[in-house]
Amino acid sequence: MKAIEVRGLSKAFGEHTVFSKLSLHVGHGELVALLGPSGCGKTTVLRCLAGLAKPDAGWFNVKGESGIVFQEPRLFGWLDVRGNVAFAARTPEERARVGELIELVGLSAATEKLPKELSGGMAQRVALARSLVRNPQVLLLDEPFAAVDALRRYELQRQLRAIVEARALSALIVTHDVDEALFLADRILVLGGEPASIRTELQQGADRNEVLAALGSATPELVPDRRASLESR
Amino acid sequence: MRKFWLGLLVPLALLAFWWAITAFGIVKTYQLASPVQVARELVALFADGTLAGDLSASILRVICGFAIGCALACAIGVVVGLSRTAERIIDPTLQAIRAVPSLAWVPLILLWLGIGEEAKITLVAIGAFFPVYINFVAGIHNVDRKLLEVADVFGLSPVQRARRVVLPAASPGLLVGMRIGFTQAWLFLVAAELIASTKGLGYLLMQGQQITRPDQILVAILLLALCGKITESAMRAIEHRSLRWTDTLRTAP
Repeated sequence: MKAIEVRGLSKAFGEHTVFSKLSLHVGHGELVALLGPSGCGKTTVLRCLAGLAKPDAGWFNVKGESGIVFQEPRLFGWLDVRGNVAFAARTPEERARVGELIELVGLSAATEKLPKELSGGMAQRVALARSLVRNPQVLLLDEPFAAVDALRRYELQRQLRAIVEARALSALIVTHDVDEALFLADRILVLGGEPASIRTELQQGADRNEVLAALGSATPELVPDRRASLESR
Repeated sequence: MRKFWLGLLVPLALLAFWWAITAFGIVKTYQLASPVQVARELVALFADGTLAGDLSASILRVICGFAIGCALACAIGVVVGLSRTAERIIDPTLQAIRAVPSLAWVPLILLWLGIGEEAKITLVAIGAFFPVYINFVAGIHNVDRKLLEVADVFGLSPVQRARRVVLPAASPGLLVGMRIGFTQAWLFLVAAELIASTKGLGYLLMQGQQITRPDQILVAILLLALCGKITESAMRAIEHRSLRWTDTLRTAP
C-alpha cells in the first residue's frame, strides 16, 4: 500500500467546486510536491488529508501516524520551545524524544525561549520538530516556508530534505514555489484549472521551463530563478 | 522608580490646591475640610479603633464577594464560552440582568437577605461577576481558530482541547475581567454600605454626611481611593507576570 493514496476526491464550498475526482499517491519514502498557483485548492487537498476538511466524495488513506506543518508556525504562545514540541507527546517515549528533535532542527540554544522571541524561520523549525514528536511515517506540509525570507528558506528546505531522507519519511508538500518543488521533490504534481485537477506529473530533474509552462506561464524564461541566483553567490 | 514619582505629581498638586483654597478661606471648612483637619480626623478615627473596624469589615466583604462572583463567572463563563448551545440558553438572560443598574438590586437583596453580611457580600459578588464573565467569554471566543486546528490535528479530546489550548489562550481576557471586576466590587460595596450597614467605609461616608463632618467623609473617600488603587495595582502586577508570553504593547520591554 502507498503512504498516501487519494482516489476520486471532490470538494466544494457552496457553489464553488474546488476540485473534483482528484487522484494522487505518494509512495513510501517519496517526497511529492503538489505545485499550483495561489488559491487553486492545493491547501484544501492537504486539509482533507489532515482531517481538517471533509471531502464531499472520494476516498483517501494516509498510512499510520502523520505529522503536519502549516503555513504559519501556529505555536502556543504561552509554552516555550520545549513545551511546544512536547505538546503532541502522549507517551514517555514521545516525551523523551523532545530534546533530540529540538537538537535535530538546530534549536538547542533556544529551548527555553517563548514563541514571541523567535524569528519566523526558528518558529517554523519548532513546528517541524513538533510534527515529528509522534514519530510519524508521513509528513503533510502546507507551504511551510512561504513566510520565511529567501536565504532562510533555502536552509530550511535542505534541512527538511535531510530529515525526510534520514527518517525514511513519506511527504506531501504543498507549494506555489517552482524552485522549492524542483529542489525538494522526487515527483511534482502540477495542480491547476477550475475545478482543479492534476495537469502534469513531472519527475525529479525536470526542466524548470517545462514546470513553469505546465503551471501556465506563457513566458517561463522571464520568471527569475531565485535559488540559482542564491547558489551562485 | 522615576515613573512612580511621575504618578505622584498630580495628587501632590491637588493637595497643594486643596490646602490653599481652605487655608485662605475661599471654601468654607464646613463644606470642605482642610488637609490638616482630614489628617487629624484620620488619626483620631484610627486611634479609637473605629477605622480599623470599618476598614476590615469593608475589605472582608470585598474579598468574599469578589471570590464568590469571580468563581461563579469562571464556571459559567467556561460553559458559555465553549458551548454554542449553552450560550444561546444562558447568555441572553445574563445580558438582561447585567443591564440592571447596580443600585436597583439593593432593595431586593435587602428584602431577601436582610441587612446582614450576606446581603452585602451578594451585592459585591453581583458587581464582580459581570466584568469577569464578559471578558472571559470574549477571551474564549477570541481564541485563534488556527491553534484549535493544531489541537484537532493531534486528536485532543474536547476536555484536553479546553484545558491545554482554549483556557491558556483565553487567560488574557480572564485577567482583564478580574481586574475590572475587583474595581466594580468596591463600587458595589459602597452602594451596599451606604444604604444598610453599621460599619464599613460606606457607613463612614453616610454617617459623615448625617452629622455634617466633611473631614470624616474625606477620610472615607481617601481610604476608598487607596484600597481601589492597591487592588488595581496588585491585579495589574499579576496580569503582567502571567501574561509575559503575549506579544502585545502591554508586555513590550
